[in-house]
Amino acid sequence: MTPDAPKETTPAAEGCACQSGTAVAAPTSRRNFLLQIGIGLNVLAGALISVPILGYVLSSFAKKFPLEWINLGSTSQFPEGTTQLASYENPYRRPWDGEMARIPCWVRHISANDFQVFAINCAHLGCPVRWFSESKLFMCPCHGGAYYENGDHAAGPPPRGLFTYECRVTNGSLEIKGGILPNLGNPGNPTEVAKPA
Amino acid sequence: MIRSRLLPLALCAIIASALVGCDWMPGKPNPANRWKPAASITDPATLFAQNCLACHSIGATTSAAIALNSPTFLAVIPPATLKDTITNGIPGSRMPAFVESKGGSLTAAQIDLLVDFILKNKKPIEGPLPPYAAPLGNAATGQVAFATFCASCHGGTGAGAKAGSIVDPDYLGLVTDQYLRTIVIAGRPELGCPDFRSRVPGRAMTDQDISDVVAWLASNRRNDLGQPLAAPNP
Amino acid sequence: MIANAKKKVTDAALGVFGWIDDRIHVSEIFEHTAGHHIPKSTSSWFYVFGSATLLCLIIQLVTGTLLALAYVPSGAEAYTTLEYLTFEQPLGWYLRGIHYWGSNFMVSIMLIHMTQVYLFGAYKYPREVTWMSGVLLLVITLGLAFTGQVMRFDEDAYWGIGIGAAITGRSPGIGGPLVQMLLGGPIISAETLSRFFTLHVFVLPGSILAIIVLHLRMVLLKGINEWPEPGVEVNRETYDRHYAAIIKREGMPFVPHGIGKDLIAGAIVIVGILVCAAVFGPKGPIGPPDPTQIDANPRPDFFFMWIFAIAALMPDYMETVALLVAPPIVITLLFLLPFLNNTGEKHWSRRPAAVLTVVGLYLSLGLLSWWGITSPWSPAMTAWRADPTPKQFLVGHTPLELQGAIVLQQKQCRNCHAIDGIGGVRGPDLAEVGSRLTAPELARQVIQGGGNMPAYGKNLSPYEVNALVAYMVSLHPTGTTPAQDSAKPSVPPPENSKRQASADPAHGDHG
Repeated sequence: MTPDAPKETTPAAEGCACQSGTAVAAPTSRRNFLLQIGIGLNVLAGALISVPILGYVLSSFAKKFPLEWINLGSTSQFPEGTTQLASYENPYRRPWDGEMARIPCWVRHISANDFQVFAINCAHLGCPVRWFSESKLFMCPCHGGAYYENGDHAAGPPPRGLFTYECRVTNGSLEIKGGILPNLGNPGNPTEVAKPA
Repeated sequence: MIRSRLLPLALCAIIASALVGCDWMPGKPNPANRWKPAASITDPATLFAQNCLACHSIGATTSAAIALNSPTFLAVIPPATLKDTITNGIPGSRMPAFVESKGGSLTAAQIDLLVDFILKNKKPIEGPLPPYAAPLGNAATGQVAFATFCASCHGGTGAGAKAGSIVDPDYLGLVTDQYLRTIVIAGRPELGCPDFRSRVPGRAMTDQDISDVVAWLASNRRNDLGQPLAAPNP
Repeated sequence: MIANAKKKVTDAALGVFGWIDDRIHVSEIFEHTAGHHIPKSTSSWFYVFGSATLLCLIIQLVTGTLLALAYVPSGAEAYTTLEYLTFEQPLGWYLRGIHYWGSNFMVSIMLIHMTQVYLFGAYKYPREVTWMSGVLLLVITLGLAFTGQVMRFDEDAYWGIGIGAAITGRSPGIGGPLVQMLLGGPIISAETLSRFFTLHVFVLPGSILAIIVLHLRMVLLKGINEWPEPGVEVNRETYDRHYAAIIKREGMPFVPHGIGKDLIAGAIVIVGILVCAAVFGPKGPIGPPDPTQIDANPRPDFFFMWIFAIAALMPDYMETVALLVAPPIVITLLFLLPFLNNTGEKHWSRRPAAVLTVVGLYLSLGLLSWWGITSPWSPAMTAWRADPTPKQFLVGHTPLELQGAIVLQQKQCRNCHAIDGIGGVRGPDLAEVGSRLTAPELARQVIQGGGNMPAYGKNLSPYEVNALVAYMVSLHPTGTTPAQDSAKPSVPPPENSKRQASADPAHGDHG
């Protein structure tokens, strides 16, 4: 980038043991050929080994984790007109996930078979929102995001309302389509009509 | 030669003191401060401070809702009612349910601890006590009793004099009849409202006076906002 | 006799050293590294921060390795092993403390080192690569700090990963897949911890060592920056000769003549870390990484507090830019600094813009960190249950106003609004709100919200609104009148006007 003109005068450069100033003999065509073969083979081998390595590392980038219907239990656990904490097991859990495998969510029973299920994660930066039934608000402890009972943005920095899960009632059980940490890049509910804040 | 014998000894001493010494350094985490789930808190004073203190005092602070060290209140409220109130709240009033299963922050065991903690201040009170709950009495005689016991502060019509209005429709729209009864019985001594025995010196309110005054107060409840009343009855 | 024996021993030692030196050329290596010549002017207390940072790294490597003896990077066990380290393993808490405080010291001393290098103009010709490798070292160190905070796998770590994922998810177009890659799956799981563990223990330490080799090699190749003199400008044509002349005139070997102050500073740093660890101990762990424990109140470690603050203070439309675009730009600018400003004056007294930049940067970082620590934007989540109302705000109030005071608690107003300094600080203190706003204004604010306050219209009954408004109107200092409507003549309001006014807005269809 800059037209540097370094002079070999730094103290470290002195005393370099290269008194054997004999020039390297001109490469024979055989050595040249071996060098070229060597480079070529290594490029090929490098390409070969990079396939499994990149495939391994990037697998989670490309892999699809389809959402799955998850049973939250009988609808009778959620009295009409209330919003309650529920939790479900991550469908993609590993045996060594420990307590991380249980994912919480907020279930709002509006009426009869009409439910809304919200992700615990604030739409701002993912902190756990808490429900206050007295003021009918969700509040976030991190940056003060607040949401109304129906998940709409009420105050604070979140760019949208709470993330929701697609939900349905089957045989008296509440089911949600889950299996993702909702984020702005993938809200995790294709049926949701996102409303701007 | 002496030096070479002392050296290992000194080293041992240093290492030993490091090992022993570190454990009483102030930075050593105290196992007592180990994280515990909120449900495992068993100190009732802590539970009270974390859950009740904002609305109910217990002597050291003041509070907008009734003080839970009020001697008359503690004397009349049945422990079961106290427990039920903390557990399930009072629907339609501002008292929330505190039990976990209803979205509250306390376990049933913690509520038992709190009930004991509150009732610890209960002291025997001389003379007959009115029942905590009773049906409404007669509003007409209640007005007379009000004039006797309450008008000196709240005015003849209850609209306020030295103390504020007690018949404000907004106020009556917010409070239950049981709430009115509790205040008539226990008063708010710390805020200047005496209890049922001390309103007129030497003359305690009778059971009938209390029920009648509550009936008269309740009869003032109007619905001038065209809204369903918050909680006309307990 | 004794003298003879002494000579024999000395000869033998020299013989052994001579043999080793003959085989592995120790003295030659020494001459080219630790023994390299430095300008006498750089044997200064201002030049000790680089070696002190390196010393911190060594402490981190040693204590980190030792912690790994007990730590299990498994989602199910990491927290248990942390508790074991902290409470049961002998001196485990102290090692954790040293590692924690070592990281604080490392980040801080590195920043001081960088500031010194910047103010002394050391990044200019011909030490561009030294500076750029240093910027890489800063980035890696911050990476180590963030991943290290995740190693302390408690609730803060869990939600910290969540915050990281939420920021990543804001990347346009590829946010979703990127989050998946960061987490090693669709949800925070054991694989996420393994990823951060791999970064913290293998990838980042390996990279930092490699780049330190480059960094030190550059120090040897291009020499240590001489003490800058005002008026002496760096010129690409003449600088190398200038520097060689300095070395020739006043050069001295770093070891043993230049290292004294570094050694003293190093000892101070070690003792500082030891004392901090002994006095303040390690951080956490707080609650387990259990997402169903929603009482969590996630906060980052000290060095990321300023980012936490930025995330709260940025307007909505600026946020993604501030979180995703600004950091790469800042890092790139830092990285390319030597090319933006390659020659000229080195001395700070001739570079006012540089001094102002440093002052501005530290003031902003300090202020943002302070904001992050106090988080005035966060609601006090338990204030509504726990914070009592001071006596002077209750005595002498009407029954309706007292009901309003209860409504104020019960509707969680207190989580954001303090009364006389007690309670949340997100919204204004309500101690004297009655002298600022009239009853209709208060009712409107409560019902419609606005100015970052939720609208409570649907969640309060008209009676509750009226009680609340009556209470707030009554909150004004004794002897003063409540706020007056400026459009009306300033006469004392008639007896019943307060009630009328407060009732009116609630007449709508809010219920």
